[in-house]
Amino acid sequence: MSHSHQIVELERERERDDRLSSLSDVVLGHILSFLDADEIGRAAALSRRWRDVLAIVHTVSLDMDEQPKRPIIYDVVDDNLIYSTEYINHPPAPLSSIVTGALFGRSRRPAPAPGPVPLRALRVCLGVRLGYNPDQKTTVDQWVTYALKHAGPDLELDLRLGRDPICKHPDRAAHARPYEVKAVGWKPPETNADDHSPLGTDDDDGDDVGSSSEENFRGYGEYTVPWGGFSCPALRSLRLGACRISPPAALSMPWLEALRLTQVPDEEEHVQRLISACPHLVDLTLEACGTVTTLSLLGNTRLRSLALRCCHKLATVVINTPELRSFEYRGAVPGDSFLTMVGGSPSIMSFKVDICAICVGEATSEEELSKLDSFVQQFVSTTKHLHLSCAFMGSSFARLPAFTSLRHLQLIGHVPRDSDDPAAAAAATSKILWKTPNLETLSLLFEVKRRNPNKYDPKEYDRGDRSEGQLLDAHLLNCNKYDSLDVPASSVTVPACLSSRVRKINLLHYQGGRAQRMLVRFLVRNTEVLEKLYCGFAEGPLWIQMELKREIERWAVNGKTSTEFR
Amino acid sequence: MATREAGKKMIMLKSPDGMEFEVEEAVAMESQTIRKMIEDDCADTAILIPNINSKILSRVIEYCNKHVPTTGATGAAASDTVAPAALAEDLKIWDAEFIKVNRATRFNLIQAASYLNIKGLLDLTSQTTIDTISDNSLEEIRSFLSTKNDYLPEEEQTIRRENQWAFQ
Repeated sequence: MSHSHQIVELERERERDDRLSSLSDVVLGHILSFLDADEIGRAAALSRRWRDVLAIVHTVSLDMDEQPKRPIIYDVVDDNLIYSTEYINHPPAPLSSIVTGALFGRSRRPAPAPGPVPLRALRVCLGVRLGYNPDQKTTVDQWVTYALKHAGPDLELDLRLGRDPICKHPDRAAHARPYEVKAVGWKPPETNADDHSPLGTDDDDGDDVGSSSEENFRGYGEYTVPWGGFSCPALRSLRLGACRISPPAALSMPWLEALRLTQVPDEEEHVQRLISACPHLVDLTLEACGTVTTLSLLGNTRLRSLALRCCHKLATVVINTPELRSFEYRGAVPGDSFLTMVGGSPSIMSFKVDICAICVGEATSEEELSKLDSFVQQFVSTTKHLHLSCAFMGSSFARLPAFTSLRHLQLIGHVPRDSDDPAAAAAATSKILWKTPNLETLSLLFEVKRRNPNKYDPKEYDRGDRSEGQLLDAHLLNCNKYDSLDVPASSVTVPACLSSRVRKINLLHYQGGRAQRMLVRFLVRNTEVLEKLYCGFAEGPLWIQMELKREIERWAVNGKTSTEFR
Repeated sequence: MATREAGKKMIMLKSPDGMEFEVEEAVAMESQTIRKMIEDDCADTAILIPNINSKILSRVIEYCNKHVPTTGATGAAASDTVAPAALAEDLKIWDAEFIKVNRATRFNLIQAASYLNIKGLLDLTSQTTIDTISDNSLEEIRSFLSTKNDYLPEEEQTIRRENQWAFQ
């Protein structure tokens, strides 16, 4: 946009009224509830209309991984850096003061004005480097007490005081312990641009496999949940991370509908007791609860959604959940007797399996992977939506049983650009598709590095790994027109669902490169009734995107296919 | 909830500028306000939607059409309320495209979503609005929202002192 154009645009904007300010308190409050607490506090200084924004928002939320960067901290005096006067006079206050300020500033409006709107959510999520220290015990207790006391009809409470990735440095693990699936003939790459694992095997920040279990306790303070005030029936959703739960024996929270525990350091009895104290849970997630070996959900008969992620020691789960519709498992290949269902199998609609490279460790043999079969078997007849995720797309799922009801399939994983066998991804995918005769939508999410559900990026801390950062800055797209993209017909056959059923294909984070292009070409060319094709590219130069786009359009055999590229 | 069989019940929505939109009842009931009217039997003929012009109303209907709990392409009822992940991702992509509108339209959508009480649309428009003002300085936000700073200097000082925690 040219400069003059920009000015005209700005002028035009100015002529308009400040329409946001003219909204009612209810609507404005709802909109501003999406802001972080400190931004709401600053917005109060915008104009008089915004004076009491704190009292009209229904959510107080703070989500930070790092102390915010402050522009001027240093002065240069005689070539030396010293703290600036401003910094010495106003040292950064602890982040907790933001939450305290936003919560207690709610009731500041003078008497004739209505009181603050009831609270719908308090979310405090601090990165592991900010952590929690025992001096803050009283402060955090006050937040919890305030939130429970000022809750509206429904309250969500989310306290994660020291967020850490639930499984650390997955890429490194994939690199250090490559696992090979003979059936697919897949070999992980030696060293290439797709592999962003740090080159050192173990660096000094002590991050290593197996977080969150007691032996890995992080040494600084640990917050214990004050259950005294939890008799508040408005509490619908509770999420606790890196907090000691220690639930009292008499605890009972029949009103709680969603519970999510991440990295609680407690012994497993405590976890079990808390879950049993919430008989009406609809939604339960356990992440990296490293002490839990056995979980009984016999009393939680209303569960509709259950997610178990990277609880390394968890070996036995007993459920009696006729209404369960969504089940997610992430971790190593579960043993034969991992899941026991009492009172008939629930009709699982959405099923997600994520074989985590970290959890898998060294032991992923053929034999190990075959156990997946009996685990998965329990859900084959009802599952409509299936997510399969592992380090290399499809590689762990070569021997699935048939999913006869399946309509949507999503495959997640790496498809490295250069590998000894570029057709391996196509072969693995074809094997899976043979087991999904009624598939309608296929989505492929090409990972660059393992997703990190916790938004935490260890790169930021690995100062020694500059080269890795530079690698990431470089774009990922590749389209070499001299690559041969034929898949060997002997090992890759066209699954029946492609020719008659699949109508929609989604490609997410598509990077091109020989292996991915082979896979996509194989799928698109053989999907005869394809109606819709969506392709989102990884970041990279437009001209490569255009080349990749054009070749995909050429591959579509069906003239009626509508395509969308982004 | 009513199933979408061949004899789907249709509802007529009228905008103040005289346009009429015939929509399925299930779609219209994405709006809690309209749902209440239907349940209270106030929706025999056409429902007049005040203050929402036809251009905005058609966008709102487009949104509701996409977000109404669907039946599968084959007609199998997906009566389940658990939003399957794949579907949710699809919707997210669609939403991102839907909300690429100018500020005035987005603002009208906020008002419409708020009046019609469509939570998903209100959240989508709110989040998008927030994304535009988040991470900006006060001056930038003022200029962006065309908000005039009508505080006296000492009043503004008081606010900044009271909310000192936010100005770290």
